[in-house]
Amino acid sequence: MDHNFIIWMGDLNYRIQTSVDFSTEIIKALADLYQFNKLLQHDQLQQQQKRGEAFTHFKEPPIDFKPTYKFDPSTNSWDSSEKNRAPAWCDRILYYCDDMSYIKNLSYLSHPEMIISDHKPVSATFELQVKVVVPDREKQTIDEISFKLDKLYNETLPQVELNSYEFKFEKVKFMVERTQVLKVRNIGHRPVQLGFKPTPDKQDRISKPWLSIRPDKALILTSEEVSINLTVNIDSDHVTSFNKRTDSLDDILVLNLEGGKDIFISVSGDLLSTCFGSSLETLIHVHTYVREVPTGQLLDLSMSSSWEEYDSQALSVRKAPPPLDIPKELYRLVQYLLDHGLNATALFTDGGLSSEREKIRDTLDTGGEELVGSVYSVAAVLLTFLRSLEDPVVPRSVHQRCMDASNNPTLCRQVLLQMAEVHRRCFVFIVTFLKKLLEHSQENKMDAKVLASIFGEVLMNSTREEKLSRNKKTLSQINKKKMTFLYQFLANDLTVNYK
Amino acid sequence: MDFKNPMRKFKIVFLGEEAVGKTSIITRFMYDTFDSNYQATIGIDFLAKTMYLDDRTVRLQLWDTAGQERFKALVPAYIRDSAIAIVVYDITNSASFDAVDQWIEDVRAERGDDVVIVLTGNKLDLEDRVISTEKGESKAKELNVIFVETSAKSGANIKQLFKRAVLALPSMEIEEEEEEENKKEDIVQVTPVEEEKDQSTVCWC
Repeated sequence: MDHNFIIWMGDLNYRIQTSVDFSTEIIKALADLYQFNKLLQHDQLQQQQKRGEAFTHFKEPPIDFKPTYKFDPSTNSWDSSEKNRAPAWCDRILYYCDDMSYIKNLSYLSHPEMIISDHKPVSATFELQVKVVVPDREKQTIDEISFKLDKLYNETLPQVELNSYEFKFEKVKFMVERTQVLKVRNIGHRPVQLGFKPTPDKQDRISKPWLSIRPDKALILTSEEVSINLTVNIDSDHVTSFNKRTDSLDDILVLNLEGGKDIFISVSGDLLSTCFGSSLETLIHVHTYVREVPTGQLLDLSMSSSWEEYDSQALSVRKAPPPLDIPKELYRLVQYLLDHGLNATALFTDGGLSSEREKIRDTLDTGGEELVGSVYSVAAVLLTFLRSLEDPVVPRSVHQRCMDASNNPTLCRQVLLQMAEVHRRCFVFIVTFLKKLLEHSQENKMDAKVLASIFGEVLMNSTREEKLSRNKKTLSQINKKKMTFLYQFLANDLTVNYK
Repeated sequence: MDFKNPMRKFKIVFLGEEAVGKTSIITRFMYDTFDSNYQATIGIDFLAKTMYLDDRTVRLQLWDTAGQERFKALVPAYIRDSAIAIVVYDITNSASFDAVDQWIEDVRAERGDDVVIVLTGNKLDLEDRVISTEKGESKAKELNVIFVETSAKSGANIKQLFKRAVLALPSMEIEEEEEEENKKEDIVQVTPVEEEKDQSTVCWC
């Protein structure tokens, strides 16, 4: 109950127990003689309190006044009526407190001068020690408690420790996967469910397309740690946007702790310059090796003024040297296959070894003396080179015409005339190479249809968007037409006079 | 009475340039401490705080945001659902003051007028002030937002900042009205019941 003190008062109606030996007349006499102790021994209330039957924990101040009942009204004389009531302390004041030291009785009196009733009123005065609210102290206490509660609550929020907030991938190479490990340790008081949030600047992806996060969700128990692999892989699909400077090796990942905070993780780095994902127009201006040109500046090389500027820094030729006929990278790959691979079976389907392919790509970009590796690896790199070109050997602007002309050799030859010079040269160069391979079909078991199918796709590569936007049936029809277009060149002699 | 949700919850988002003192203001408010070592917030931190205001209690969710330039594009997404935006600048750094227009614009773009914005000039304890109180005040007036100058280091005006922001919430008035309604419902009407007369006067003796 929400109180500290109880004062119980009223006409409790307890009597002085009469008996044969203790008559009303004796009681009246003892009362008039102020022999209260003798009377109190027979007081029903005190008897019940002693036996624990009523008001057990209550106290009553000592009674030092005559019984307060029953008088003839308007007098101080004991009841003279027929009933002849024995006097009694009917009117009582009791008190209680958990700690009785907080309450002190100062008086307990009866008031016989009041004669209007058959009872005499009683009064008591007490001194109480009362708890009061001190506003300042109350505020302070509430603040202290709420501080503790908030602290407890905030301590239940997920807490983690990361091995790093920033991951730098330096000198990343085209198509070479690089992985760094993000370690997340749970230092809070409860398990943490973590995940990565998609962001609007990445078309609602959780990372840029060249960056993969594995796993991208995890439950970490308290004091435990998870390792998350951040893997960068810039392949044919993405390298062009790096060369065109529409993308860079920068990303911010949003690591979310469920029910708690978000942590921003920065990924940065640089892609080593590469001939892959560049354009034929650019590459014929690169007399030196691609790796010597910073990424992104390759683009400038297709504009001869920038090329001059760049070359003048190299202290060699003041004027731009004439462009190459075809990119030297294409020349080196094809020449290698002409020298070593004419008789190889499954030349373009074997794929070679990834370690060799990496070395071969490096050699192309750094100007290493010799290509080292099997003809299969070189052949695979050739396909990658052609597939990753910003604009394929057969430019996208004429793809529709190629497909429309695919059943008619003469029309196919005409389309060739509509291609920019460098594209036409490269196309003729590759067709010549493929025909050379066909001369060895006895040994290498290749035929024009298989080659047309493999090269039709890479020489007339569709963009990612085109591939995604068309259904399977349409795509296969398109591929078939592209293949037919190339097949016309392999089956007929359409490249005479083109070099 | 809504027993499921005994306290009103409000989201407060802190915005502003790098190193203006967003985290320090929160730390002063939460723990009444100040750490002079600067540590950049890398992401969005989240803390809860109960605030007692005279006769009512509110639960505040404090969202601290990264101020670094490289994270700028990510931060506006966190303004969503916030009832209060505290846009902080450093009174000794005019670039941080110039940036407040953009932050407030971001808040308006996300929340319109359905938000309390407090423009807060922090670092009142420093001597080399370059943005005068008048300049801050007139900017606040121009953008129709509340203005406070604080020092997270000395603690000056920190409590007032939060108090003013919370009291400015339009929903607080609504809550007050609701409380009034509730009070009326809580009142028990006591009307004396007429009892039989003879019983009340007769003494049981």
